[in-house]
Amino acid sequence: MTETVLSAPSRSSLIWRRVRENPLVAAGGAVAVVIVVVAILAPLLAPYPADAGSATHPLSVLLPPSASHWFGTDQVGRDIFSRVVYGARVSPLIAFFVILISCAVGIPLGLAAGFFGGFIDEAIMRVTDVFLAFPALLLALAFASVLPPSLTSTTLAITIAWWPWYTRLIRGQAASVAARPYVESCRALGISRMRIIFRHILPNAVTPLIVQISLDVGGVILTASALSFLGLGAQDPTPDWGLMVSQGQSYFTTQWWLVTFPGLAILITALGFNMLGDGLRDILDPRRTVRI
Amino acid sequence: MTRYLTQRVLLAIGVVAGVVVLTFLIARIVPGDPAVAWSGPHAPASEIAQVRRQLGLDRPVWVQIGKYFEGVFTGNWGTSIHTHRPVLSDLRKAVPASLELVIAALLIAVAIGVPLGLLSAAKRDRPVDQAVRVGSILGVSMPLFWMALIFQMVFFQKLHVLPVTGEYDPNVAFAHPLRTYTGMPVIDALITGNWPMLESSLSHLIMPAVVVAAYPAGVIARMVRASVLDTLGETHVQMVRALGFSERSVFARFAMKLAWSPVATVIALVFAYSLVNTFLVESIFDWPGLGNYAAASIASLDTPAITGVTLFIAIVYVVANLAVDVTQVLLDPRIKLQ
Amino acid sequence: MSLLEICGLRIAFGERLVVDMDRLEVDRAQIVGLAGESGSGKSMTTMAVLGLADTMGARVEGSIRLDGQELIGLPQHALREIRGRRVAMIFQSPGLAFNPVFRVGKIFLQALELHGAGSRSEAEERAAAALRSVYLSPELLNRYPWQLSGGQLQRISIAIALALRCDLLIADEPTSALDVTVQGDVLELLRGLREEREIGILFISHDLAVVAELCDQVAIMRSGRVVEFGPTDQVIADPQDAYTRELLAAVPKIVYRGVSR
Repeated sequence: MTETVLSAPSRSSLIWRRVRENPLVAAGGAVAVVIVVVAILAPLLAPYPADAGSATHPLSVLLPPSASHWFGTDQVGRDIFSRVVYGARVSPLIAFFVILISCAVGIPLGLAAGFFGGFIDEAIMRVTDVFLAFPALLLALAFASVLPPSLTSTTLAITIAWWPWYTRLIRGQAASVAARPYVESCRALGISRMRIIFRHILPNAVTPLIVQISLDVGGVILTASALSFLGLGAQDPTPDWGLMVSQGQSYFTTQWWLVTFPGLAILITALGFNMLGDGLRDILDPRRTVRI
Repeated sequence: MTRYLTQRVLLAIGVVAGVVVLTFLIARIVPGDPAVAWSGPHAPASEIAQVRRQLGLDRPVWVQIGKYFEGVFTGNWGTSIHTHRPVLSDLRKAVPASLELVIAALLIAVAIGVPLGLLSAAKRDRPVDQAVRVGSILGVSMPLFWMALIFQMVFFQKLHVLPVTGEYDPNVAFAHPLRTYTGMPVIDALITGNWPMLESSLSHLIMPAVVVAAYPAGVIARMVRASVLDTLGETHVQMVRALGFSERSVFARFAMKLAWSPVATVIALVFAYSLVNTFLVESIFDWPGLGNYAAASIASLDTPAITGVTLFIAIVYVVANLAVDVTQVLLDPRIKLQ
Repeated sequence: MSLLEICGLRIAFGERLVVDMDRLEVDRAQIVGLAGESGSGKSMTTMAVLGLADTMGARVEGSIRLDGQELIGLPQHALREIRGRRVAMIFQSPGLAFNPVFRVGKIFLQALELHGAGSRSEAEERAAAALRSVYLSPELLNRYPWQLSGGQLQRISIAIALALRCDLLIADEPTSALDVTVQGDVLELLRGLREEREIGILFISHDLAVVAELCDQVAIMRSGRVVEFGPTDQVIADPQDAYTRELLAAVPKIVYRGVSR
């Protein structure tokens, strides 16, 4: 044993050490960063940027992977590699908006339910329970099926399915903090409710919220690509990965590259964010403390 | 205990009712006319009007909802617009196929997930554990429709090992007709001793079942690992260790009984989730289940059918949750006190 | 030769050292208190004595001798002979220490059978006798842990140690979760163990008043180190270490065997 550190280390250095020790977070975080970078730098990385749009090249239809087309070309001659690269903009963007709106709606509702309790709590949670009674995909499917197919519809449909999870999460946090004696003494001292919510409840809720969000990114991306695959989401010529898999389905037996690469992109992205979320959960889980 | 249960049941019924209302409201936003969908786009206006009256579409929304609920309890779930048959009979045909798929998938998922989870917990933080953890995350990150296509290509195209579509080979079915009892070919073949059909339906079942099993396998493995590790960290386990029992005894005799409870919960929940996941896979494998039916209903704005499917799955989900609550109380005495 | 001799014990989690103990001894028919704040390393020390420190992910160096036999480095099967047979442990939260799925008696009897109590009826005899000596009815063996109070469960823990005929008892904050009135009963039982069975007891606590009342010798722990170790009356009357003085000052009134401070 080399170092004799007998005093308790600070919380941030503990967290940082756990990050270093945890390969999941490192790998997942790396993948997530790569995806974001690819999305941002798409115009620079894609050899044929126009192919991500409505360009068609009837002469180079269905070419196998080669030096000039790393992932081959699709049924109207577009470079698949470029489309996959641009696709990195589509899915994470959907995830971003879904989570943003879900939080914007779900968190205040959860705070209200947990903090005020009583009738407000009952009312909000009953409605939430109804939504939670559906598997998310089913609800999103149901909504997406009645809306005109587009990216916006998908985003909206998935959001409607997703917000209850945040409400329940925040409500749990709010309720447990609101029940603590020191909050009561705050109230007795006359401290305003808003202050209590912001100074005491929210900081405690941040950690599980971060974990939930990073896990949800993967889930939303999978759901969105499933909806696009079913034809309810992005439409041609948007380079959505799920849509590309669906379009390549009929050619799949002979031109395997149409389906393989976009699907692989979905897999890797979801995998990366899920690993990140899983690793974060390990690190930030307060139950990890050991009695000394 | 009974009071707790009745409370849960009433809540469940309330939730299902809420789901139905929600679905109705969703379908009302439909920018299309189901009556037109029924009669076809070229039907004369009078026929459309007649159909509309027939389908009860001219009544106000809340009357429609009321009549629907009435129908649900009397076995009339409406008539499907795209098949022109009662929704309930459509479901009766489609549900066993999906059930067969989901049950097979769950059996595979448990067979894979539980041992891996136990192994992962036993060799904590060692390479095996890391590998299993990555594997289970892989399972839950898998785009199922893509996995289905890849499997088809590998096992059907390249290796010629497994068949690709349908529940069984129609030629085999012609030569060895199958008596239908449960509607699930594998089980029916088993109980009637129809071995050629058993082989055919099993070989058709494997690929889609494995694909659907990916997600629950990942979830189960993770849950088993977490539950076992949690239980092993509890004071009563330390006490039994301090009494001198071997690690194996501690594990098998004392810890495992408590570790099962959360796992059972997860299995029930994953069941309903997988039922919905089959939607993605059925069209690719030409599997005549709920997924195919739902897809066709969505395409033709078939409100009664969509509502019927939604209602059915909501019921499954709610029943599964209820079963979970009951089993939890039975398995873990500590919960009784709450 | 003392019953328990701890020499140069160092326990670490990764690179972080949590225990750095020079010396601690417990003799037969002696109660030694280990006092200190939470996080001072008391619990990990007890885990190390039982050879269970690695189940919590810690590394152990140094020497722990039981009647001269070195425990550190002993293979698990040898340690299992010692656990429950020569060394027993009582936990802080009795409600958590018993597996809720089993009746209390089941684990009690299985432990007895594990350590050679002979036939089932012999084991039941011993268990019943042990329960009686802690003033409990043997009928309680048929109950589930959540049907019994904290005090009863703690006394059953002591009964288990008695029935197993251990030489050394490690009590990890046994009274911290109990009412003051029930505390007294448990402490009285521990004194009885020392007097009648000549068991050596290592008594962990953060409550200096209880330690002073019960223990013959006391060790004060701070941040993993033993800053003071000696006969209780001496430590209380004339503390050598500044930290000990601080701790003593924080306690309103300490009565040690009639000598108050």
